[in-house]
Amino acid sequence: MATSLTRTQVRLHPKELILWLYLATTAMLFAGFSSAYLVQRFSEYWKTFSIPSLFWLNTAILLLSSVTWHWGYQGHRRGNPWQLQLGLMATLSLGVIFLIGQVMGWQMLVKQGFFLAGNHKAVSYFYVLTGLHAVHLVAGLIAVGYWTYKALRYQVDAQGSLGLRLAGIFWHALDGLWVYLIVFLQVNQLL
Amino acid sequence: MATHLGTAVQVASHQDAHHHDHHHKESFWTKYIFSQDHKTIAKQFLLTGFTAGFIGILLSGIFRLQLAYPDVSFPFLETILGKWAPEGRLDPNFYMALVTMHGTILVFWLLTGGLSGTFANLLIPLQLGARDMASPFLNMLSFHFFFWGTVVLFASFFVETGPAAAGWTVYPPLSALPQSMPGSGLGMILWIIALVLFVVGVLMGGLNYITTVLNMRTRGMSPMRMPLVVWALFTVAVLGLLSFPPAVAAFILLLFDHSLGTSFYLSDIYIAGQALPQQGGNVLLYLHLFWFLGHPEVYIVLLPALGIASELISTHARKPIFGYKVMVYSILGIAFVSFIVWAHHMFVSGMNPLLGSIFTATTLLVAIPSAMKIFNYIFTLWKGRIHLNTPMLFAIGTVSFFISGGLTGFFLGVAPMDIPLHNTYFVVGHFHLVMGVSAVFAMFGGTYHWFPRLWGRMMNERLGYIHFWLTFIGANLVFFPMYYMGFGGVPRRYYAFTEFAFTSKWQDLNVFITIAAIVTILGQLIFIYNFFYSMFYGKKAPRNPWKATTLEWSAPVEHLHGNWPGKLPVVHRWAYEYSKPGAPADFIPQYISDEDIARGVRWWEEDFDPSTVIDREEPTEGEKLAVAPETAPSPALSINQKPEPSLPEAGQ
Amino acid sequence: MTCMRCLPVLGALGVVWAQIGAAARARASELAMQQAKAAAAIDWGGVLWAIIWIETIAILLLSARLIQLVVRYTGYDPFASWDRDRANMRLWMAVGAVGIALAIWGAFKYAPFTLPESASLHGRDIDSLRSFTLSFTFPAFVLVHALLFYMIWRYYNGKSQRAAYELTHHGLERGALIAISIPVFIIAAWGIYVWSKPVHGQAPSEGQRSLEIEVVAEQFQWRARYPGADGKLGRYHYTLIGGENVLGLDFTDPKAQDDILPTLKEIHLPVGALVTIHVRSKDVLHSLFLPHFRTHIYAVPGQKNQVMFVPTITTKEMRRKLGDPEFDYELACNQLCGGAHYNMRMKVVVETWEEYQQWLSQQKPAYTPPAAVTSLKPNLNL
Repeated sequence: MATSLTRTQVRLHPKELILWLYLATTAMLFAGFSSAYLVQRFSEYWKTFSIPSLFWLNTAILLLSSVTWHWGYQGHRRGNPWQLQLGLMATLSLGVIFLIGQVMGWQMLVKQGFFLAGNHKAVSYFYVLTGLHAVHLVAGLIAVGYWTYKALRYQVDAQGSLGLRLAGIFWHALDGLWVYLIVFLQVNQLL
Repeated sequence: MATHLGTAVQVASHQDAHHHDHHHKESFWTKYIFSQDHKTIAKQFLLTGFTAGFIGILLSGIFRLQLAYPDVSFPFLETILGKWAPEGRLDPNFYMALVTMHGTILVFWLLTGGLSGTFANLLIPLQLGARDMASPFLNMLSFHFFFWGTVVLFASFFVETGPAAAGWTVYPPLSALPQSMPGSGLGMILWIIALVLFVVGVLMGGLNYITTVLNMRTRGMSPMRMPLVVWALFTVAVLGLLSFPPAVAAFILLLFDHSLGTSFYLSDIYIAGQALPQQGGNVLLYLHLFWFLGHPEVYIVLLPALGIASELISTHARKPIFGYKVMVYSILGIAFVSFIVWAHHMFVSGMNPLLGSIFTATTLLVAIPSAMKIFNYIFTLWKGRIHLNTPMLFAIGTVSFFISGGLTGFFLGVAPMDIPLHNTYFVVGHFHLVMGVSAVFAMFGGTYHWFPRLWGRMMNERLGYIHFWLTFIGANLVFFPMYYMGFGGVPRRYYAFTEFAFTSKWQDLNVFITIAAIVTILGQLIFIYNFFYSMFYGKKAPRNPWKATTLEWSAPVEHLHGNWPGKLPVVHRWAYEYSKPGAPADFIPQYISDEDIARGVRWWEEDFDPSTVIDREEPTEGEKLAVAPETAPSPALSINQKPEPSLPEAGQ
Repeated sequence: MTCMRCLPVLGALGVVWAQIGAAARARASELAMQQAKAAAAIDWGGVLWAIIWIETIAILLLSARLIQLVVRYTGYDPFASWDRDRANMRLWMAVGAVGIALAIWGAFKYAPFTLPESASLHGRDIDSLRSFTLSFTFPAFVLVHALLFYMIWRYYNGKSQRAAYELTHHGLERGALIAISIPVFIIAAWGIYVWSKPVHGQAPSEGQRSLEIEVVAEQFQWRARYPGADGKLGRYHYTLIGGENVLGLDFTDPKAQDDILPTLKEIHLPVGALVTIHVRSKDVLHSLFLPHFRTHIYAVPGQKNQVMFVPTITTKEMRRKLGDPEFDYELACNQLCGGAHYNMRMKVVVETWEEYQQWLSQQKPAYTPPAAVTSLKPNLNL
């Protein structure tokens, strides 16, 4: 990294700093939703429902995708392009599987008669929060897809490894966000 | 090319490398529309913001006309508004739409996007000695989101049911139920889309501002040497980053309630002959989420204005800003407190009365740093040498309005006193003076001050005086009488004051306010004329027309991607070295070192070329090291070709 | 050259002449239009207005250009000898003095237009706090501005030749901090004290009568509901609204059966009694604003809000005090609720207990047994 020009500068690459700040805004977005959720959770109309266990399977899939990403990235750092290719492809596929799993999960909810519209706020929030996470995840998939494409064409060089690392941070953050969401939603159904 | 200007590594390399030799020819599109140059983006924000703002102010002229003459028919209204003013009489629903759009445009488009967007983009890189923003590409996107938000917002004037009309705060259920008023139909959806585009734009800008300030300051630019306007813009970006996302959450939930049948905010509603199925929604939840943005938003508007006023007052009084550290801590203090005062907008909403006491206490705390800032402005003038040119007049105007508006915050911030004043014209007068006119004046002052930096020409001073005095007197005559009306309990957002005995007493004053408002609005034509005339035919400006110390005046005004033709300036002193005893001139720019003074550099002369000083600077040892990996061939860490089996290990 | 000096004057005269001409032509064409209008389908009034607007703007632009040309070609500049800083300083002094004088004059001029003395008990506390705050903010407004104007007058470029290099002054900063902190703490403490005095949850004192009524907001009117002989308001549900049952009362509840909906849209309150108003809304946000009683609370759909106050001055007494025989207390809506928001008025009458009882006895209960059976079926639209 660059030696800083003044002692007070932040020792992070500017783009990495931008990414972390962006993640802070995303955190505030979901903090806003979470506080709304908590406010309504204590109203007299609040009802709970049981989250289909498929969502926990999805959680495992998404966690695994973070592991494969990390494995691939380690390969890249050791200069092993095949490991990077494999890792990224695995991450991409697991991400797509996760999204498909989410859609299936929503369908299961619909079959059980839990709709977005209506007065069952726990369900409404569940759709809104998981849906918004899915939107973010699509952005993450585009980033991972881009780097998979580059890796398959052996175009990931030292310059590119910054972008690769940032895509990784974003992917891990989406993973962390999902874990937070599912735990938050589940805990509020149990309590 | 532009994107890699952004890295810290390269900032160092620019110190000695002439990077801009390969300046490829730019087309019209890349130069003016999809520009990634922060100066051009600043101009884009300025023009878009001012255009939107002027339209917003014209809207207020129309509804002021209605308030003054509720019984008079104005046929020209039908000509321009069509079905919204049948027989020349404004439709009450459209009156609300005008009020809503006026508020939205001025608070968000002019005073958030326009003000921060312009001056943060212009000043942060130039005053900190950076080649550009941390990510010029993101910066370009930021403007384009802002611009398309503007387009969507104005498009809502042309939908069948009219634009959003539930007030700029768009409280549900009014905003969520299309059957409650025409403006809550498609207009409301467009409003939310416009706002989300706007917020995305503002946040992209904000990420850039913060990163640039944290990461891309030139050598020697320690935080306590930064100009106050940069401190303010940085703080504002942090505020925006933390407060806009919850508002977006509120808007998303509102959109679901509006269009998809959820019940986050809706409950127990019987409207248009139907009982709606929604139950258990919580309107106060929206209010809390909205004002968690809404109050910091006030300071997002105000702090850059005060920062600009600091620059202008110090420069034109030829005196260092008084109590620099207190000013910095005041900015940070105001920013912190702004997050814990939001519920003072909700004292009479029926929330828990205990919260009223808490938020009274926190709200009044804001008075302390704000008053410290006012005192410091006045003490900066003390023993100064005040050049009463146009930027200075506007800066003093900002301070004056901040006093007139700020003091009345004592009434509104205290829960019991807020009971009879809530939502009355007292509030209208208060916020227009303290954050509306005050910020607009700083924006005008900043435009007059930095116009030569943007376009290389001076604005006409005399038209500036006329513009200032007309606007200053006019704005006071418009908004100060509203305090009296507020003590009369006159509610805001009324289409006419004829229906109540306690409001109809004020009719004469309303006529007076309307006349003052229309004259003031027409007075802005002087500014528009001056602005565009000076852009093309104004007097050519010298490099540093105001004899200011900050770095933006050391860069040539020509369109130059990278700001400085040679090396980046190195900073040797703080931003306010005015009238230093023993110095050969009454200002010492930040890039002048003591050795330069000893060498006899004559920086105060009009044809002085700062690059003769800037390019003399030698890189430090650390910078030389930092440059090394750049120029050396890529190490083995790269895998841009199919690797040989025996690839050497590489670490980072 | 004297002839040249006349040119700006001539230019100004030309502008005036053009204005007069425009006005005269506008008037003439207006008269002509009025005759033509009856037959013509075109909106001549609108066209006329457009012409006047365009002409005004054109004249403004032309006159600016004219003055500019005169200055450029004659070299005569009436303002060249003006000292920029001194002229603007003098303007600051003049505008500042006139402005502050106007602000003080306005305070006296408009004092009779402001709300009369509080007609409720807690309102008196609010008013005295407000007077105290005003006695701090108004002098502060004048003094701080005076200080600002003094600096301009004393240190404008010309009078002041060189600025001092003054970075800070700890005594001044500390003094400013104390000067602002004292009123802040006094007003905050007083405010919290007044607020926490039981405005929202007070109990009737010894021998004080108390009364609970309900006020319901809808687009765009208010409705009041009084308890019957039992003194209690009955249950309601929004799904029961419909037909005669405008408030959605649940007539299976005996407490609701004797509830009274006044026939005239008025609220009557007995003086001296502790009044609790339950506020709800049928559709969107409204706000119950009783300015004369310093009482204000949102009407929120789905939320039970209430507000308490003690009316202390009867309508008759207030009329006598103000010397205005037409005076009435008014209830206004103060939260944007739609197009006719400005129109949601209800008269409030404060009277003695006897008058109040007499008025109440003339009202009839809302409940009519046969209608109740049908209205019990929820017309929930799902």
